[in-house]
Amino acid sequence: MAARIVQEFTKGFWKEIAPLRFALGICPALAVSTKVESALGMGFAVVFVLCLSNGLVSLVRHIVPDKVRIAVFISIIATAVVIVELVMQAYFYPLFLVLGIWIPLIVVNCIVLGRAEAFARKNPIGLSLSDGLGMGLGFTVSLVVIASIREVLGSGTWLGIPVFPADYPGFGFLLRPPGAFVIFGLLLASMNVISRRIEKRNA
Amino acid sequence: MQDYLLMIVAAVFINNIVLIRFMGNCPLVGVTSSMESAFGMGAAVVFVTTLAGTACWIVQRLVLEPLGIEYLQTLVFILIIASLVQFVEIVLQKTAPPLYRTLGIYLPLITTNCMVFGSSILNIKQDHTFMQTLVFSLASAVGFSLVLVFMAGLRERMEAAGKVPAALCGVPITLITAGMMGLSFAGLLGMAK
Amino acid sequence: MTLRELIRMIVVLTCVTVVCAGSLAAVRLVTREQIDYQQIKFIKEPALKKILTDYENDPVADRIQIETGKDARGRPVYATLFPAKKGGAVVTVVLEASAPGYGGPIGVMVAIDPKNDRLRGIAVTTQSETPGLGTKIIDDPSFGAQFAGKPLSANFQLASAGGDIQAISGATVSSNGVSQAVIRAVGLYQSVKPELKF
Repeated sequence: MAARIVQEFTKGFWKEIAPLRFALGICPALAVSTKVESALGMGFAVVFVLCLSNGLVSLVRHIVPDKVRIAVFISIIATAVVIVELVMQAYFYPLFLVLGIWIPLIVVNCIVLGRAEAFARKNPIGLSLSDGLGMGLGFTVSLVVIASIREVLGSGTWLGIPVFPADYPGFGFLLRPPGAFVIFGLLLASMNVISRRIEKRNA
Repeated sequence: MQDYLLMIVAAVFINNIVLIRFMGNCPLVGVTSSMESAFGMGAAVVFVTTLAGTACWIVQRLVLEPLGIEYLQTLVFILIIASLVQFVEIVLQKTAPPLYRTLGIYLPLITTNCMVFGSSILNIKQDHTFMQTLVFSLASAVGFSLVLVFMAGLRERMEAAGKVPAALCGVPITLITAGMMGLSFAGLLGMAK
Repeated sequence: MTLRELIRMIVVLTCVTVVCAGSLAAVRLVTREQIDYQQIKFIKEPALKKILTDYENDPVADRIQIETGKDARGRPVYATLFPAKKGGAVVTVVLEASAPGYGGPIGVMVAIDPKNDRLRGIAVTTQSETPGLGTKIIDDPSFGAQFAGKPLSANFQLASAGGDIQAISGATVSSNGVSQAVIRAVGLYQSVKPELKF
C-alpha cells in the first residue's frame, strides 16, 4: 500500500507531469508564468484544489449515481476553488490581484476535473490524496520552470532578485503573450527529445 | 454603434481570447488536427458562449447581487454552464438531429473550456450592460473559432508538407504557430483599446 | 430509468449543493472581516502613509464607520474615518472625499487635527487628470501644502472664487476639484464629529 502511494505521488513529476507531458492545463501555465512568484502562487492554489477535490470525490464515490457524477464533481471543485479565492483574498491580497481571473478559472482547469474523473472516483482516499498532491506539485514545478525561463530572460530577475547586471535590456518578447506560446512549444519539444534519448538508452 | 464595432474588433482580434488572453488553449491543441472538427467545435462554442454569457449576466444581476452573495459566483456560473450544455445537447438531439450529429461530440468538451467560463466572468468584471454582454460573448467566441479554423488550416498544410522536425511534431509546433499568429494579431494593436 | 434512481439522483445532487453552499457561507463568514481589511489597506495605505507621519497604531484596523445616509436602493452609506493614535490618544483623523476634476473624479484624503480643528495636510489618492498639467495637483507639492495648518473654518475655495487657495496656473479645473473635495471632506467631518468619542 505504502509503495502504491509513493508511486501515485511520484508519477506526477515525470511520467505524467502536466502540462508538459499531457496537454492539460495549458491556459494557466501560459497566463501566469511571467513571474516566478505568480507561478508559485497559482501552483499552490492548484495543489490545494486538487487535494481537496480528489479527497472529497473519493469519499463520495460510492454514493454518487453515475449519471450525475460530473455535476457533483464540478460542484465539489467549484467549492474548493471559492475557498481558495476567499482565503487568498483575505491573506494574500496582492497575489490575488496578480492572479485575478485565473483563480476562478481553476474550476475549468482540465487537470482537476481530469484527475477526479480518471483517478479519484475509482480509488480509495489515501491514493487519491497522494495522486492529487503529486499531480499538483508536478504542475507547480512545470509552471515554475516556464516562469523561470520567462522571468530570467525577459526581465533579468528570478523571484524578483536581479540575476543579470543592471544594464540588461530585457527580452520583452518573452513577457508578451506570443512569447509564452513559443517558449512553451520549445520546452515541450526539448522534453520530447530528452525522453526519446532516455527511451533509446533503456531499449 | 461605433462603440459596439470597436468592441467587436477588440474582442475578435486585438484582445483575442485564445492568443492574448490565453483561454481555450486545450481545444486549440486538441481539435485542430482537421478542418472539419475545428468548424464543429467553433460553431458549438459560439452557440454556447453567447447563451452562457447572457444567462450568467442575468443571474449575476438579478440573483447574486440583490442577495449579496457575489462570492458564490464561481460555483453558480459553472453550474449554469454545465446545465446549459446538457440542455442544449438534449434540445439539439430532439429537434435538429443533423446538427446534433455535427456538434454533438463537441458539446461535453465545452463545459471545461475555460473560454466559456472566462468570458462570462469578464462580462461581469468589465461591468458590461446586457447588450455589451451579448456582443462581447459573441465576438469573443467568434475570435476563438477564427483562431481554431486558421490553426486547423495551417496544421493540415504542415502535415501535408511533412517537413516538421520530429521533436516539434504535434503540440509543440501548434503552440509555436499560435505564438506567431498572436504576433500578427498584435500588429492590429492601436486600432482599438 | 426507474423512479428510485431518479429520486436518488435528486437527493444526492441537492445534498451536495447544500453542503457546498453551506461550507462556502461558513468560509465567507470567517474571512469576511479580513477581506474588507485587506482591500481597504491595499488601496488606502499608501495614501495614509504619505499623509500621516507620527503614529503608533494601524489606522486601517482601527477605522471607524459612521452611517451618513442611504443610497437610491435604500442601502446605508458609510463614511470611513481612519484615526491615528499616539500614546493611546487620537492625534489625527483621516477621511476621504472626492469631487469632479477635469478628466474624472479626484479623490483626496484629508488629515485633521481633532483637538484644534485644523487641517494637518492633504493627499490626492485617485485622479485621471491630464499628465503634465492637471497632474500638478500631485507633482507640485506647494499646491497641496497650502491646505496644511489652516483651521477648518477657513475658506477652501479657490482665490478666483473668493477663497484662500491659489490655483495652479493652467490647471484651474483640477485645482478646483481638489478644493471641492477638501470642502466636502471637511463638511463630512463636521457632520459626523458629534458622534466621535475619543
